[in-house]
Amino acid sequence: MTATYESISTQTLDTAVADVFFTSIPQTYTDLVLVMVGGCTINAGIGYRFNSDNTTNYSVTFLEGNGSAASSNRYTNQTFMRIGFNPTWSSGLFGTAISHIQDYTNTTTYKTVLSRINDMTNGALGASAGLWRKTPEALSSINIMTSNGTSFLIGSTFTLYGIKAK
Amino acid sequence: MRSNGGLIGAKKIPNTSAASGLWSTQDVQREVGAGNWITAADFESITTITVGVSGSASETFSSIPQTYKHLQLRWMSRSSGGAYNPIFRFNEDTGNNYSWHYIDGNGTSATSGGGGTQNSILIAGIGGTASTFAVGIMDILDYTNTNKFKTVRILQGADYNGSGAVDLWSGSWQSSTAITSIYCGFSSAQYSKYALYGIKG
Repeated sequence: MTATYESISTQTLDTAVADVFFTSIPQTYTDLVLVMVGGCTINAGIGYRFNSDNTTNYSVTFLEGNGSAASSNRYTNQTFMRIGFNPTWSSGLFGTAISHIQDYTNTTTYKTVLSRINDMTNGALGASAGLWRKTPEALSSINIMTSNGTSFLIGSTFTLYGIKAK
Repeated sequence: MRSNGGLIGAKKIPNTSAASGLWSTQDVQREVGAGNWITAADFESITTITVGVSGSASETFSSIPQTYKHLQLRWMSRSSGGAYNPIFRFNEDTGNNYSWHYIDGNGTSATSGGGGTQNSILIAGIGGTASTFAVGIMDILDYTNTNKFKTVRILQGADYNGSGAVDLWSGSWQSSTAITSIYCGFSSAQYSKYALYGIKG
């Protein structure tokens, strides 16, 4: 029996960098799950670029809570897909984020990404639905980045999993 | 545990002791460690439904194996017409045995609501914008238990570059019957997909 839910790759930072890449992603799974635990040298949002596309093909809708109230916001026509509006990662307590990228190899649909993120330092959590609407193509690389170019902290971990459906 | 290449019968991988024709514990450990054998998984694909060119009014997973602890349903769906609210039912139960609650973000505000004494678990609307699919994940916990009502949780959303929503949903089926089928009332366009997974406990 082949495994259904497999680890593809893990990166643990031993130097602070502003961009983390997963490239040459195997095209043999149905869905991808990206699990991240990390922080940033300065408060920053976390986001993605796919297949090196830095044009305005990204948009996202957020749902968030900050311990006092729930809210919702969105970004349209962005050059990357931010996965939280207010939740940021900081140099304090590490935050977590999990993103699901379904049917990432198909060449007929845009890609929708479901994410959850939390910010333990500033006290916020959120969920988001993001859209990458480049002319449909298989997703083969992910650039994990910060919203303001600041660096991820040493010790931040990024693990990419593949889920294989029958 | 099975071989990755149908090699369990003839001892082809470990060359060093092939003459014996028997697998030793050390042989197996070595081959698993080398990735030539893969151990049975705790997260397994049960079945996947892909909607064809004609679209589909609903999909049903039936004869669900009772050998897992939890189920996870992952979908990617686009409406074949206008926006609508999909529903779920279990074991073909159309009685008023369901309830649900949600928190929703539509890009402008967050709202919460719910429904009690319902004939299905109804979730947030899905649109029909070309090429753009809503995605969702539903966890069905302890689905074979015959002493508990069944509770599910859902994360789902869609973004249309200027509209859309993301939601957290919970649902209850007030039945202590083991779940053997799941009805997905989605009016789905081509390329929509529904994948059911089992998680061992």
